[in-house]
Parts: sequence; C-alpha cells; structure tokens
Amino acid sequence: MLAHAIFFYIFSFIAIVSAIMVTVSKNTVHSVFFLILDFISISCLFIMIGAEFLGMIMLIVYVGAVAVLFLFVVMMLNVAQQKNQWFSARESSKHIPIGLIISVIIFFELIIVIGGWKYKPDLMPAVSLTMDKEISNTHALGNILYTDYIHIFQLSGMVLLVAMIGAIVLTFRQRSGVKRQSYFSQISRERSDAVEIINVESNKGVKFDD
Amino acid sequence: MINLNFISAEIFISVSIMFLLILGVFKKNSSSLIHNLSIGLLLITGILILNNYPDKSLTFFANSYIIDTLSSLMKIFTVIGGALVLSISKKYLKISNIFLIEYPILILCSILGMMVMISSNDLIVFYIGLELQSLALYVLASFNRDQLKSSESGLKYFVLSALSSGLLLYGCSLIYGFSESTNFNIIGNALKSTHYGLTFGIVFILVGLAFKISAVPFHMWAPDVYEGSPTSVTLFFATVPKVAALTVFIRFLYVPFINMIDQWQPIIIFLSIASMIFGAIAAIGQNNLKRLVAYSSIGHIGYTLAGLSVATNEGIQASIIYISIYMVMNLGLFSCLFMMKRNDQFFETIEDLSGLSKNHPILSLSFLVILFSLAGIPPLAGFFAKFYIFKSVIEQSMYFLAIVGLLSTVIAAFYYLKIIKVIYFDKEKEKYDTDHSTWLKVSLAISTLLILLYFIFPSKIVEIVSSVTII
Amino acid sequence: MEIALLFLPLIASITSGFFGKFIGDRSSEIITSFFVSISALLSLILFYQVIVNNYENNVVVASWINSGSLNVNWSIKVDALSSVMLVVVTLVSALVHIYSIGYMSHDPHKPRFMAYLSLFTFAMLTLVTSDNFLQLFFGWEGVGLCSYFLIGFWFKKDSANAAAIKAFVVNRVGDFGLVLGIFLIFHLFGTVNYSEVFQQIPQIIDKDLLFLGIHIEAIDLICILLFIGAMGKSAQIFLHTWLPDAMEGPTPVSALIHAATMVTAGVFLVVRCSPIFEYSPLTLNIITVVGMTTAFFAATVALVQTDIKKIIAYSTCSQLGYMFFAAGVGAYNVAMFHLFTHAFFKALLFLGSGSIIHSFKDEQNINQMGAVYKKLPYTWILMIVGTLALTGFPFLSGFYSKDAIIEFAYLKGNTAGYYAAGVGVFTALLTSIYSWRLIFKTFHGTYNNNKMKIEEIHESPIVMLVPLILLAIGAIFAGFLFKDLFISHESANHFWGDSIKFLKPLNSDHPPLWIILITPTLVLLSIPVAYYLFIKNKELPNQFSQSNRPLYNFLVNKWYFDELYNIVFIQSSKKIGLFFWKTVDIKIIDKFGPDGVSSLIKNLSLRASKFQSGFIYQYAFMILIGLSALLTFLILY
Repeated sequence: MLAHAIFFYIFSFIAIVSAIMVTVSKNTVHSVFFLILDFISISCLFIMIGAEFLGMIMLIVYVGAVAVLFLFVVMMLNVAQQKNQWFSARESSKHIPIGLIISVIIFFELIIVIGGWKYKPDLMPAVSLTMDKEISNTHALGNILYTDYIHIFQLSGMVLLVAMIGAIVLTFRQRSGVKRQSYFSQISRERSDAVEIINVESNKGVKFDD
Repeated sequence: MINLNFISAEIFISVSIMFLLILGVFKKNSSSLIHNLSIGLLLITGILILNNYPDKSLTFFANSYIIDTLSSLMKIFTVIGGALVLSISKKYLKISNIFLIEYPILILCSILGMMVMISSNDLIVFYIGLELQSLALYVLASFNRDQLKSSESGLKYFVLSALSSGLLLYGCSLIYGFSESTNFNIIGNALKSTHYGLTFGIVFILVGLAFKISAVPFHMWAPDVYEGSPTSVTLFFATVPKVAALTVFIRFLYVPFINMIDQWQPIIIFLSIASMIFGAIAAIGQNNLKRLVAYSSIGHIGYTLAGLSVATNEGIQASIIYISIYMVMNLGLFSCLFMMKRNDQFFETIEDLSGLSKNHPILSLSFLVILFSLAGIPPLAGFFAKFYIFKSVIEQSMYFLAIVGLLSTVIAAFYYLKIIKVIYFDKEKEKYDTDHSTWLKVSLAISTLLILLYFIFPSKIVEIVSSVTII
Repeated sequence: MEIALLFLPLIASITSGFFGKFIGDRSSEIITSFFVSISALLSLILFYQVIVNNYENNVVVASWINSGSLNVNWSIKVDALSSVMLVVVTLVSALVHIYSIGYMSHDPHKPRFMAYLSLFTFAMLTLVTSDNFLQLFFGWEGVGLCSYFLIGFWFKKDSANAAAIKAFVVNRVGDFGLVLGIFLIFHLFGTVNYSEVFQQIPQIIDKDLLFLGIHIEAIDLICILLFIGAMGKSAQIFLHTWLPDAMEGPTPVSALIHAATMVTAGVFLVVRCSPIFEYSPLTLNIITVVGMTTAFFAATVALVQTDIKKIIAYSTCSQLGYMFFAAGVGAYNVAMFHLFTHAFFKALLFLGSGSIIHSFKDEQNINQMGAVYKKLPYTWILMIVGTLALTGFPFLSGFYSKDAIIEFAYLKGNTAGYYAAGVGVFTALLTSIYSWRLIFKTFHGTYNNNKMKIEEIHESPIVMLVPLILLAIGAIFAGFLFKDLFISHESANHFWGDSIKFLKPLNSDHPPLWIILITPTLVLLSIPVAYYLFIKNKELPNQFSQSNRPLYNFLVNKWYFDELYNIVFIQSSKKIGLFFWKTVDIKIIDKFGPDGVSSLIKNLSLRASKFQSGFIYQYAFMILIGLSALLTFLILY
C-alpha cells in the first residue's frame, strides 16, 4: 500500500503542477506540452485505481489526438505576436484587485466546503468497493453503457453530430475557381475520350476545335 | 421492455434529423424542402407528444427519464414554438443569405436537446440535453458567419456558456458527492441537511441555470448575443430555450432540492427582483429593438422566477402560463420586426419605427397590442400573465416581491409606451415593403388575436395548466 | 304607472340630449314637454289616489347594491309626502318646459337645454321617491349636477361659469354633511333603508358618540349632519351664498330649480326624516333658529337689491327659512304646505319676471324699468297675483300657509317658538314691502330705460303666458283648497299617515285672535306704505339710505357674507393651495417623486448600458461576482 500511496502523490503532484504550468507558461507551445504531461499523469492515476480502460482512452484520445491537434494549431499561429496581445491588455489591470478579492472569497468558501467534507464520517473509502476481477474494465463499461445508459450514449452521438455540423457550417466554404482532382472522371476516362487519331494530310496541318 | 410510445417523439425527431441531413447532402438546392419538411416533422412530433399525453408520471431508463404532464406540456410548447419560429423566419433567412439546410437541422437538434432537458430526471441526462441544445445554439448564434457581429455573438455565447456549464458541473459533482446518486428522486430524499457543501452545490447549479435563462446578474451575454445573432435566431433564443430552461428550473427546485427550500428561496427571490428591476431600467436606454427585447426578456424572466419562488403549485402554474404568453407575445413582436424591411434590408432600431402608423396602420395596431400586452395593460394577455404571478406571490404573503414587481412593471411600461409614441406620433418615414409571406402574416394575426382575446377564455388555459402539479 | 312617471323624463332627456341634432329643435321641445306633462298628469292621478284611498306603494325597480349588510334598491316609494312632492315637481317642471319653448326661442342650444331640464326632473323624482338614503343621495347629487349644468348653461359667460362653480362648491359643503350623516346612520344601524332606520331610532336615543373630541348624542349628531346637507341645498344662512348668484342661469331654470323644486329638497329631507328629527329637540331648535334667521336676513337684503331676479331669489331664501322654522317647531305638515303653495307663487313670480326680462331684452335691473303695466297687462296682473300670494294677502295661498307657520310657531310655546313667531310676523312685513317695491318699480312710476324705447316693449307670446296663468290659478286656490288636507288637525293622522311622524300630537289650541289678525293687517297696511315710498315720495327711501349709509351698505352687500367668505375661505385656501402647489408639489414631491425618480432611472439606465462593455472577461467576471455574492450570502444567512 505504501508504494501505491507514494505513486499516487507523485502523479497527483505532477498533475497539479503541470496544470498550473499550462496556465502560467508564457509560451503556448510549452503550455500544450504541459497539458500533455497533465493528461499522462491523470491517466496514470486512473490506471492506479484499476480503471485501465479509462487511462488508456485518456492517452489515446487526449494525448494522441486532441493535444497533437492543439500542437498543430498553436504552431501554425504566430506565437510571438500573440504574446504581446494577450498579456499587455491595458484595461484588465484595474480589475486585478477586485478579481483577487473575489477569488480569495470563493477560495475560502470552498475551503469551508472541503472542511465539512473531512468530517463527514460516512464517506465511502475507494478500496472498499468490491470489484469483480473476472470481468475486464472494458467489458464492465460496455455492460452498462449499452444497457442502462443507452440513451445517454446515443445522445452523446447526437452531440457529436451537432458539433460536426457546426464545424462544417461555420468553416466550410465553397470556393469557386479552385481546380480539384476528380477521381471519378480520372478513372472513368476511356481511351476514346482522350486520344483521337487523325490522318494528317501533308502540307495542310491539323485544326483543333477548342 | 419499456414502453417506447412515450418517448416516440424524441426518437422520431432524432431519426428526422438524420434523415434530413442525408437528404440535404444528397439532394442539391434542397434548402427550401428541408425547411418545410422540418416544420412538418416538428408538428408531427407535437402530435406524437399530444397523442401520448400522460395522466401520471412515468419514468424510463432506470428512472432517469421522466414523462409527466409538466414535461409533455412544455415539450408541446417547445415544439410548436420551434415550428412557428421556423415558419416565420424563412424569408428573413433567404434575404440574409443564410438559407442553408443546416439551419433547420440545428434548430431540430437544439429542440431535441431541450426535450431531453425537459424530461430529464437525472443529472447526467440533464447535462447531455443541455449541452446538445447549447451546442446547437452556439452554432446558430454565429450562423451568419460573414458578419462580424454574428460571429462575435456566437463566440461570446460559447465562452460564457462554457464557464457556466463548468459551474453547473461543479455543482452537480458536489451534489453527487453528498447524495451518492445522480437521480433526482434519490437526491431529493438524500438532501436534508443544511451542510454548506450541499448549499454550494445548489448555488452552483442555480447559477448555471440562471445563466441559461439570463437572469441578473448572469445575464451579461444576452444583450450582445441577441443583438449580434441573426434576427430569426434571436427570436428562437428569446422564446423556445426559455421554456426548456424554465422547466428544468422547476424540476430542479421542486424534485431534488425540495427539502432545501430555505436555501434556494432567497436566491430565487434575489434573482427575480434583480432581473425585474434591471430588465426594466436597462431597457430604457436602448435604441436597438433586438437589444431591447433582450432586456425585456430579462425582466420577464424575473416575473417567471417570482412565480417559482413561492413554492406552491399555483406559483408554478402561473410561471408556466407566463412563459407561454410571453412566447406568444415575442412571436408577435418578431413577426413585426420581420416586416420592417425595405429593399431587402431589415431595420431594427426604434427610430426606424417612427411614424409607422401613417403608412402601415394594421402593422402599427399589432405593435400597439403586443407592446401594451408586454407592458401588462389590461385586458390583454400580458396583464393576466402578470396577474397570476402577483396573485400567487401575494397569496404567500411575499409582499415585498409583489411590490418590487409592480414597481418594475411601471418602469417597464415606460419604454414600451415610448415605442408606441414613436410609432404613432413621430414623423413618418419611407414606406416598408409589404410583400410578406403568408406565414408571417398569419403568425402575426394569430398572436395579436390571442393576446387581444385572451380575456375571453382564460379559464381554459388555467385548466390545462392546472394539471401540472409538482409538489 | 309609477315607473312611467319616473322614467318618462329620463327618456325625454336622453332623446333630446343625444338625438336632439337629428330630430330637430322643435321636436325635442315638444317631446320633452309632452313627456314631462304626461308625468305631471300621472302624478296628479297618483296624488288623487293618495288623497282618496290613502294609496301607498313601494315599487322596487332593481336591486342596486347587495354587499354584506348593505342592501339598497332602486325603488319608487309612493306615500303622502312623496306624492305631494311629485305633484309639485312634475307640475312645475311641465309648465317650465312649456314656458321654455317661448323663453329660449332665440337660443341656439334648445335640445341641450330641454335635455338638462328633463334630466333634472328625473333626478328630482328619484330623490323624492327614494326609500333609502343612498338613492336619495343619488338624486341629491343628480339635481346638484343638473343645477350646475343649467346655471352654467350660457357657458360662454364668465359670470355664469363662476356662479355654476360656486353653486356646486357651496353645495359640496352641505353634501359633505349629508354624506357623513348617511355614513353615521349606516354605522349605527347597518342599513340605509328608511323603514328599517326609522324603526331602530328609539333604540339609540341615549347613545353617546365622541365626535371631534366632543361627546354628543348620536341622534343629535345624525340630525345636525343631515340638516347641514339640507342647509346647503336649501340655501339657508351661511350656505345661502350660491342661490343669488345662481340667477345667472336662464330664468325658467331659476323658476324650476331655484324656487320650486331643488331648493326645497332640504325641507323635504327634514320632513322625510321627521321620525329622526322628532327625537332630537336640540336640532329642532337649531333648525328653528337657522330658519328664522334666514327668513329675516334674506328679507332685509331683498329690500335693497335692484336685480329683479335677485330680489326674488332672496325672497325664495326667506320663504325657505319659513319652511325650516315650521319644521323646527314640529309642524312638518305646515312646512310641506308652505312648500306646496310656495312652489306655485314663486314659480309664477320667477316666470313672470322672466317674461318681463324677455320683454326688456335681458334687462334685469328694476331701476331701468317702470311704467310698463299698460304694455304688459297680462304679466302685470299675473305678477300682482304672485305678489299677493307671496305676501300672504288674505285668502290667497300664501295667506294660509304663512299664517299657519306663524301660528304654530307661537303655539309651540317655548322661547324659540315665540321668538320665531315674532320674527315671522316682522319678516312678513318686510316681504310685503320688498315685493311691492318690485311691482311698483317695475310696472309703475316713470319709464327709466334709455336702451330701448317704451314703444318697443311688447307682451310675451302665448306659450309663455299659459303656464303663468296656470300657476296663477294654483297660487290663488292652492291654499284654500288644500288647507284642510294638509294642516287640519285630522290630517296629521289621516292624510299624512306614516310618512310624517309626530312624537307629540300637534297643539290643537286655537291661537289668540290677535296673532291671526296681525299678519294680514300688516300686509294690507304695507301696500299703501310701499306705494308712498316707491311711487309718491321716492326721495324718502333715498334720504333714508343716505342718512343710514352703513346700514344700507350692509344690506346692499348682503351682510358682507361673500366678502367674509372670500377672506376667510377663498383667499386662505388659495394661499394654502398655492403653497402646496408651488412649494410642496413642485419643489418637494415632484423633485423627489416623479421627476426625481424618472431622472434617477434615466441615470441608472445609462449606467446599465455602459456597464455592458462588450468584453467577455468582464461578463465572465460578473458571473463570478454573482456566484460569490450568492455563496457569501448563504453562508452568512
């Protein structure tokens, strides 16, 4: 159990520090890297509590796809120029004192809540959960995802569909005058369409239609 | 095997969305067809709901989805509202060059999301529904992507809404932590203590919801988004999502949080008072009609919240009546706005209305009726709506709320009357076009008549709504 | 029959008022006159039935208010008292309607005038036929309103408008008393229906009330309040100032409203409420004193007035004083009798003076007249008949009623009674003198008008004379014919029945002979005296007025009542009003109220708009502020 605890604290520490670094770091590329680090440590935490499927999915989806996409986007933008724009806002400086007050208030209020949590006696410890070792994590998830939560699962599909439609509507432009490759016409091209054999009379030449 | 009849409307609308999408992709230039089809499909959905109108509450999917009189009634409002919005905005879309197949489909998606929200009996289902509708709304807000204002409004809405969703989710997790369940009924039984954690959970959730219905002080997005979005989308924003959000509000307050009434009641009263006063005061300085509608909708939301705060069935029913009458009034108002068109250009400031009565007497009369009703002048429908609210509030001896409400009505009357003054007494301007679509005319006529003649059949409406009993 | 009687004038009024333009001037005149005449005939039939069969009826037309213990009906109560009033009202009204056809022939607004007259008749009828205080009040206000319309009928004349407003405002003081009285009655008895109230009266005799910090018996308070109402309407002293000014209205109006009907409403009220007043000796004494004072005061003022209508107006005031002190000494039936006869001769006098004014082309000053008795023979004779009746010339109607009043006052036997009788006799002398002064100055002596030649004066048309003749017949015979019915000792039980209550039976002693003889003697003697003063030796009155300047001025200025009121009430209330308007309203209430609030809201609105900066981070920040505010609130709460 000691090793478990040690690793838990190591990964948690890394996760929190990298999360802070994501927001603090001035270089956007660094931020994305810290984000990846954050994802990785969280997936480790998932694996530690026995949710290996979630941990792996986390790695594949967030690190493999989302974060890499972020990286592409960030690298395509002019980072140096943005830096000036984002951090030298003149207006916002006068909001800092009020902002600090508000955030301190919320922080302390949340501490009150957490303080209450600590003394709540009947909170279930995670280790007490009985887990069926026979059924794999993936299997168990699938068991409820396609039964009890089928409607939520389907609705999530709808959400993704809407996101897709939205992305298309907002970004897709039909540009005129762009030359495109037409696979269909390329493949379906016959010899007869492309080549014409003409008998050229001497001293007359050939006249093309176009 | 669960009885799918009762959720056939949701299934039907999901299938329709996919069908329309495929049809739109494969058939060229099918915008008009898709538009008309979506109206028809929405109406069929409405009929399906009506056909399976429940007489008691039924739950599905492990108690996470509920069909009762409240949900069915509100779904019918939503669906009909959506169909009307689509039908009157066709011409506007064509002229604004945004007549695409995605528009009605996104509206359908958001309506599906609202239906899920309305019927949700579980935090997760609720959240998925909420996201479904909001996601569609973000896209709709920036639908006119070539216009800076539209894109801006979409972005603003998206960012702020994300923040509020975050707060909402945080509240949900707090609630889950304390009640060990996401199911509303179980939460309702579990939440009995007055622990700060619970209170915080409630506050976070209420803040998220208040953002969705744009109650003060979580309203800041509304004026900008209303102004920037295409007018047809503004109309949609101002009417349909409010119905859904109000239902969720009712559901949250009176199912999971019913035992925490001491905690949430002051919050709701505060939101209500702040919205009523702020909506009335801020609207006075507005010149853009869409912005003005935004502030007026903030004010009207204040009155509906006043109905919710009293914690009686009468109050809830009053709120439901209020929101439905409000929907009718807004439909009428926007029909008028759609008619303010000259040479394929729409006008939306108060000055553009000046002297309208000289050139367009009938349109001006409708304006007059609708604005009077919005101001709550008897015997128009808007008066009855307010009357029911105040009645239920006073019955519970919440005199302060009633007095503030009445005072803000007086202030609000000022800017409605100001518009009427501009219409009737200012210098006339050029004539507007009169080639409006039949749907637009019919919708304006119906909404005006409904407002005007409501006093003849108030008991009918009250009777229908009185079947909604939550407590 | 009762319903027809009551509603015919209303129908006539509506027809003429709303459709007068369509049916034309002449038709509206005919319709109104005809309908009111039918009404008059019906009331005569009713009166006959009451006399012969002791007919009594209470027709409930509709239920009016049914709220808690307050049950009030629209009803037509017919008994001896109301039948007498019905006859007076409808008869005089019908004659005035007919007379107006001639008198108003040059006026462009005839239908409106006729509509007002008929509406007034209707209101007066609802007043007298009421079976409860509320309907009475309705009629009371109705006649007040019509009186306002009619006094201000020539609304382009400033003085007419001012007079109309004055009449309305002064009446308001009286009405306030009446309303308070009705409130008190409802408070004490829980009902406003006459029969129920009168039944319960004996139960509250000893009840004390605290009113304005004074302990007073409930019954006295009710009676005083009701009497204040009556004083306003019947122009008794202190509230009389509107009546002379009301002469700005057309003369038929003066005849109908300010002589025969509306001003007698106060007397009617006192008589109708005799079952209450009988239990309040204090109020009865007050009534006696007020009535007596009014009679004397008005007669003295009438002596020196020069406006023909104002003389008659003060005379009316004075005669109303007689009626009140008759009621005050408990002789309600005599008061009614004088009301009845007075209606005839005073209407006659007014209409006659109208005829004179008409002939002189709207000249009202008697100093501008004279020596026209040959030119206006019928008017002259009729006026003399009226004057004789008024002064109480033996065997004309005024003789019976006025003498009876003085006799009963004497027979009352207390100080107030003797005093009243004495003043009554003296006033009768004054009455006679100013009446004859009017006749002599108008018809005899020398012609004094320089605006028009004597040749141009001509007699009024027949349509104006016929009503005069009918009234003259009434003035001559009404007293003789009806004296047994009204004031004989049997009539108290027989004719009047329950409509008048006498707590103690009227004194049936015969008064001493000298008291019966003294009035007629003085009246007869006054004729030659007046002749001597105003025809033979005109210098004497002038010399007298010269040598007694203060007294003369005192009388000419009507005892300085108007001036006094002007200083005490009008100027001070104007000052208070100005103070409240300029200082309190504009500087305080408007500044902090409407103007202040609206500018505040404008300000706030501007700020709210500015607040909407358009920056997302501000909006997000606002959400967080709201969140933390709610959290903090709940933690502290």
